[in-house]
Amino acid sequence: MKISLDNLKNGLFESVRRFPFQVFVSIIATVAGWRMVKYNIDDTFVNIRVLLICNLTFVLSLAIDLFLERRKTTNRPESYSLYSMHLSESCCISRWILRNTKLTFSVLQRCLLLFI
Amino acid sequence: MVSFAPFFSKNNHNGFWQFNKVLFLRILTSALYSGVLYIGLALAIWAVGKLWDIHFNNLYLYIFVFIATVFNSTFFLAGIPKDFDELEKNDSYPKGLKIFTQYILIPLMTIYLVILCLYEIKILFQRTLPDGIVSWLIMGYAVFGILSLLLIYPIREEENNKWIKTFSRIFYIMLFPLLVLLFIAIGIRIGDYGVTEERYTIVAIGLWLTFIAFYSLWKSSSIKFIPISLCLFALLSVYGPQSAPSISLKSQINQLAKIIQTKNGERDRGAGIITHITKEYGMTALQPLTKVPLKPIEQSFANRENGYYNNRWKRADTLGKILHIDDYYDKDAIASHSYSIVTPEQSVVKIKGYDYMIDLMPMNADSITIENSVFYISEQWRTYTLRNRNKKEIRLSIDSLVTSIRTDIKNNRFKKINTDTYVATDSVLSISKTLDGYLFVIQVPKIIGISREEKDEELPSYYFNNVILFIKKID
Repeated sequence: MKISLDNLKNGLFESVRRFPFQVFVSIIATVAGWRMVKYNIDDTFVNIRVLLICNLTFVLSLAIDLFLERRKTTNRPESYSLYSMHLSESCCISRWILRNTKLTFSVLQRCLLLFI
Repeated sequence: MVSFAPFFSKNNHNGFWQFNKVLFLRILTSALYSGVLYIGLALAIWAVGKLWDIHFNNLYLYIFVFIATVFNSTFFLAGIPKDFDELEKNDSYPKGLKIFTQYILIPLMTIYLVILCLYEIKILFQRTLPDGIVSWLIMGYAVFGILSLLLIYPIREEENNKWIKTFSRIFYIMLFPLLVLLFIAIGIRIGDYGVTEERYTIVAIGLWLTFIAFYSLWKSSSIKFIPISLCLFALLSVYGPQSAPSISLKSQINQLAKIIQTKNGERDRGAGIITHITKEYGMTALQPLTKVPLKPIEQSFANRENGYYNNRWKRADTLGKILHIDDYYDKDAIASHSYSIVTPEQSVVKIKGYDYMIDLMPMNADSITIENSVFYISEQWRTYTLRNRNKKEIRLSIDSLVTSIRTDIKNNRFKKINTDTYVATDSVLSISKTLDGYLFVIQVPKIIGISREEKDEELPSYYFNNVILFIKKID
């Protein structure tokens, strides 16, 4: 494997182009991790749940992407149905982890607000 | 799931193996690159801090989180193979993998096997019951064994590697007596204390290992079923009425019901079960054990703003009282009580007489600049240190402040506004020192203390939610 800045840059762009949802999930995980570092223990409870959701969503969405890629059914990044599928899958995971619909929406809302 | 998602169809064993080889090596490479990058950056930051006398609060952690999530994931994703058909044709095998398996994984597995066999002989002779730790040793043996078999899978048919087939059969045959030992060890614990999530997981892994041992002896050419069956077992363990949360909750409620019925049973364990169920499933999960409606109580806790941990303990404590096992509750908690020391205005802080005010929780800056004077500020073990450019410093310790407050409480120097709240003046709840013509005052508007009657010799525990730094120029 040849290591160069060019290769690293291409690898990064390739990852973002091929797996945008997973990169987005890892960014959410980073922000949750930073919040855990910054804020006190009470807030950590929610952030740990966000990290857990990100972890499961990352793996599940990656499996779905690879399955569809093999079947050549997607044409990224125009495949909005794929994003909808990933979004619903993260909602299901969140609901399952938090065992509470109200809290699920509050956490997902928080995830989105992190970027505003 | 990721390992087999692109290979659902039949007859692509080589492609499947090559794909997983790439993923396995990529995970190791990502970990190596991330580790080296973090160590390098951490050393660079440490050097800058030392050379320029700059304090970086939490910067190491921020960088660690970024590298562990974004960098590591992106690096891993960049290496996932694209051409799946090409993988099927690829028959390369890294020699390092064979060496790793032959000289590291297999010897490790053999060590586990020898320990377990000797232990099995020991308990057979002594006619004793197996220790709980054997479950983990058996898991270790199985993990190393399965990983070894997966890593050497493509070279098993080669002329000079005929030993692999013999090794594979011996591994699976030796697994059976160990699985019997595992089920006996975990069965004893389940019989005594019921099913918990951890015990359920061990049973599920045991069943999965039994299944793959039978399957592999019957049909040794397929390796795809290993991740597929593991994924199915994992999904069944986490979702549905047969899942770990569902079964362990039922079992723990039954255990608690037995403890409540037996008047002099294991009451401490009852408190532990209540704490666990309250934390994981909420108060309402224990509704079958009481006629008192728990939903409104849980709702009232949810509306409080005391913080998650505080409320969690209060929830468990309330349930202990409802289920009549409060008198067996945490002895340490009984021997201790909490109290608060507040300023007369409580939530209002007087700022009169000062020129500047800085909120130190959270501490957002490493330095303060006042009229061309720079002061570096840091906090460690509840002691705030302020240092000027000439490295002259002052230390303001909240520990020493609390120690003197505790003495004052013992001598009844504070007014009590209710059973556990004392009122102290602003000056009592603050510490001050001067540096470079400035007066620095650290004020803690509210301190919550825990006093333990039996452990008076220990440093008292205390908490505070806010620390304010006041600065005044001295003429």
